[in-house]
Amino acid sequence: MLVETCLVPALALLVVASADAGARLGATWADTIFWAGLLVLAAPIALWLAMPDVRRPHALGLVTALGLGLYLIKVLHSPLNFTLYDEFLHWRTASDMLATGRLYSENPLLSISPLYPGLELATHALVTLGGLSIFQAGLVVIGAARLMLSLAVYLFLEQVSGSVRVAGLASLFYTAHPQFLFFNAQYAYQSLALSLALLTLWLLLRRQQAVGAEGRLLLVLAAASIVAVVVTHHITAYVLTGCLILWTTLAALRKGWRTAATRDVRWMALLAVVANLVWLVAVSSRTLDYLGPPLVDAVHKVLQVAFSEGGFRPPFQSDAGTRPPLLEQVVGLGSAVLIVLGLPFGLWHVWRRYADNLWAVLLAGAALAYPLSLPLRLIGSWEVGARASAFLFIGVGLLLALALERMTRPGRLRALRISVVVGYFGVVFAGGVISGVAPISRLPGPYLVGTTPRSVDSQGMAAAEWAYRQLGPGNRLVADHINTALMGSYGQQRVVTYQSDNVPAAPLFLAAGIGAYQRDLIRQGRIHYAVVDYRLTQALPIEGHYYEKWEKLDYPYSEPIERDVLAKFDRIPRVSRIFDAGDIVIYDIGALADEP
Amino acid sequence: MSRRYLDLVLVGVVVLIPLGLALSGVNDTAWRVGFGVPLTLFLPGYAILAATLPHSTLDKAERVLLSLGVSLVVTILGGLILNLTPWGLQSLSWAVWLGGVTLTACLIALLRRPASLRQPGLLRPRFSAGQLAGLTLAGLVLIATAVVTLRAVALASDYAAAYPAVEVVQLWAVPQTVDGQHALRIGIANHTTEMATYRLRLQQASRVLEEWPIITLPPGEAWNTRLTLPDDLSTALPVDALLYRQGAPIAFRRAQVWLETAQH
Repeated sequence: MLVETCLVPALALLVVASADAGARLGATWADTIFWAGLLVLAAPIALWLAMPDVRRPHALGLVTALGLGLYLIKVLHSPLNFTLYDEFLHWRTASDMLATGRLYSENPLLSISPLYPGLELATHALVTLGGLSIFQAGLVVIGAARLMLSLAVYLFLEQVSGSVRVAGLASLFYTAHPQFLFFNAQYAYQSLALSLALLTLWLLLRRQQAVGAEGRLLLVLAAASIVAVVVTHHITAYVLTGCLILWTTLAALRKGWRTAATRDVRWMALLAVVANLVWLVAVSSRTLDYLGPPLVDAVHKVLQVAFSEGGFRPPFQSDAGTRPPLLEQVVGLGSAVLIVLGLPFGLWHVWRRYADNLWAVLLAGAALAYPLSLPLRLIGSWEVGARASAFLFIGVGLLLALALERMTRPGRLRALRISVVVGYFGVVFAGGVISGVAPISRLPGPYLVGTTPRSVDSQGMAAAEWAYRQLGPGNRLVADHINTALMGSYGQQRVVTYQSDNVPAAPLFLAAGIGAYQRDLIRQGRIHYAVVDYRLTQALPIEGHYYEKWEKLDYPYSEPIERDVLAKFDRIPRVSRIFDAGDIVIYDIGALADEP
Repeated sequence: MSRRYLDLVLVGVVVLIPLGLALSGVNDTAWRVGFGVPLTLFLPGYAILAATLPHSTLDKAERVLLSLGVSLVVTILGGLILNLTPWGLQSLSWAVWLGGVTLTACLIALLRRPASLRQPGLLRPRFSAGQLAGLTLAGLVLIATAVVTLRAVALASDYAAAYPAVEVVQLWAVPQTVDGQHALRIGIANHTTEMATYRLRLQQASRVLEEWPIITLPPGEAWNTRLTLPDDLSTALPVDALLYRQGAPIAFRRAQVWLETAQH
């Protein structure tokens, strides 16, 4: 067992590290080696989990090895610093917590983050007790969360299905959701909250088998875990609450109120509702303002399409209009088709064998919601659809496992049947990686314009650290999307953004000159400094925008920004150029606020 | 001491060390990492389970999951409580909270653990020779992975310096007011991987205010100074700081300050 759970994953990580090393040095073979590393990691584990005689400790070990192995792939991508955008937002919250020793400081990068401090509390404890940096502590916390998630998903699905093999296969398919490899491995609040939510669900199920003091304790722990989820991440808390309410409703419709299991889940649902409401009212009232716009935008886009007002976006097309290679598009599409084709078979098994199992019915419902989330990607609401996959894929995993489990049973052509199952998983898994991470972001490499992690490099970090040391923290400053994250986190500056201050940055940088409108913005935002990154003139932004997503509405462009436009601050009297690092220049523009 | 208490004694020892470190103000990271990480992520949960479920039917995997999960929950909820106290969030308050919870649970577990109880087995893994060899090999492979990664990161820095000559050399001139007089905090930082020599000139129009003909900086080092400016400088013209590579006639970094608008 140690060979497949330790040695093979270690070898896979060495292969991926080699791919990353090659990518950093510009090797053209890096992408191929990266996929080879994923294959070495996932294929043997899928094969062993598909074996009919897989034993429970083995299945647990394999699932855990896969979950941790995929997490370490993300760590190998950026072993010394955070490079994903959301990581900077939470770094800032953790840093403020360390500086003040208190919660709920203002975070100009993500105002909602300090109001859900679960992740940063764990980080703070590790930093102060363990002597780690925020980055190191963040890696450890998310690593622990990933270990918990892997165990909790398996144990939960084992309780639901009553089968080691189904649980193993279902956990395997869960790792194939688009956000598993990078997004839910990043230092962000959902990464921790997801594992706590799965822990809660497992505790509720496990409690049904426990009697006496053990049962009561598990219920208490479930209650405590619910509260921890509520104070860690809003959406996960709402999904967990919704799940508990749905289960309770189904139970009321099917069996009546008065079973012990129903009573426990009912009380936990009530606790979850109350905890969410209390937290919303007492601490995080801004949550609705924060979550509202993306949801409204998604509904708006759906209505646009429904009323034939256009709004379709071709599959796999990024915000910048680029597409991955054709093979990846085929595999991505094939993955979605395979999932959609497999779900009805899994549903049939739920109907036949688990119709009285309300958790299985609930998960089946979640799985059926997954195909409904796919069209969101075609109407530009990619983020809503992608985020949903982290929750819906627990059901998808179960149904696909049920659909395929029989194919792995002893009998004729067993080797062929298992190969088909492993191949099926391979396509679904590859499709998840392709859908979840853009090709240029899967591997590290030299600077690229307008996309994390490739826009995060030593220049930007050095400029941010300079700002913190030489200017001090808290200066009001505007910058492009990437430097805003760096200046707001490592630089500890009070970045002025449209989200926090209703002051857009694009007009200050993309306009040919500084006119009355720009001066009004500087006054309104009380802006002191402007950070100009001249590397933006090298190319169009990969994520489709330099400053704000809607900037092209006011400043349409099909070519990179002209250097002369960014250099306008050099031609304005009374604007000081206080910092020059070649590509990154910082201007003191505060005097412009005094001009009419 | 009976071996059936060994795990709890070990937990207690591990808890007391970071508590002692926090009280004594010792900052040695090696000590703190070794004990602070388990205290945050595993021991509170382990001790609570031992205290509350001495006769548990939970298996090893479930205990590991709960030890992690309960520890995180205790940390998160405890942090919310600590925030309400006068002491707030600091190493001592964390050590007292997490250490206190863990030690209390350990004491309860010591009292409640029955004589007939077998060790949960988390502390007694058994490996065959072949398995140990496999584990060792896996460990070596992981070490090789770390070496490859870190070496590549270091090489990439050199590569970035060569393609296309991305030199992270910073020049700054931040205006200040010292005793009512205009001053400048001027500095250079060499973030390249090689020793470099620069020439720095401060001027207003054609008037040279100050010049530093040779500033040698090792890689990763910075130089800075504060200069009080002459009273007779014009506020209608900016003051320029120009940085030259050694022997080069053209400045490759330029800072410019308008004294009229200096706010620092």
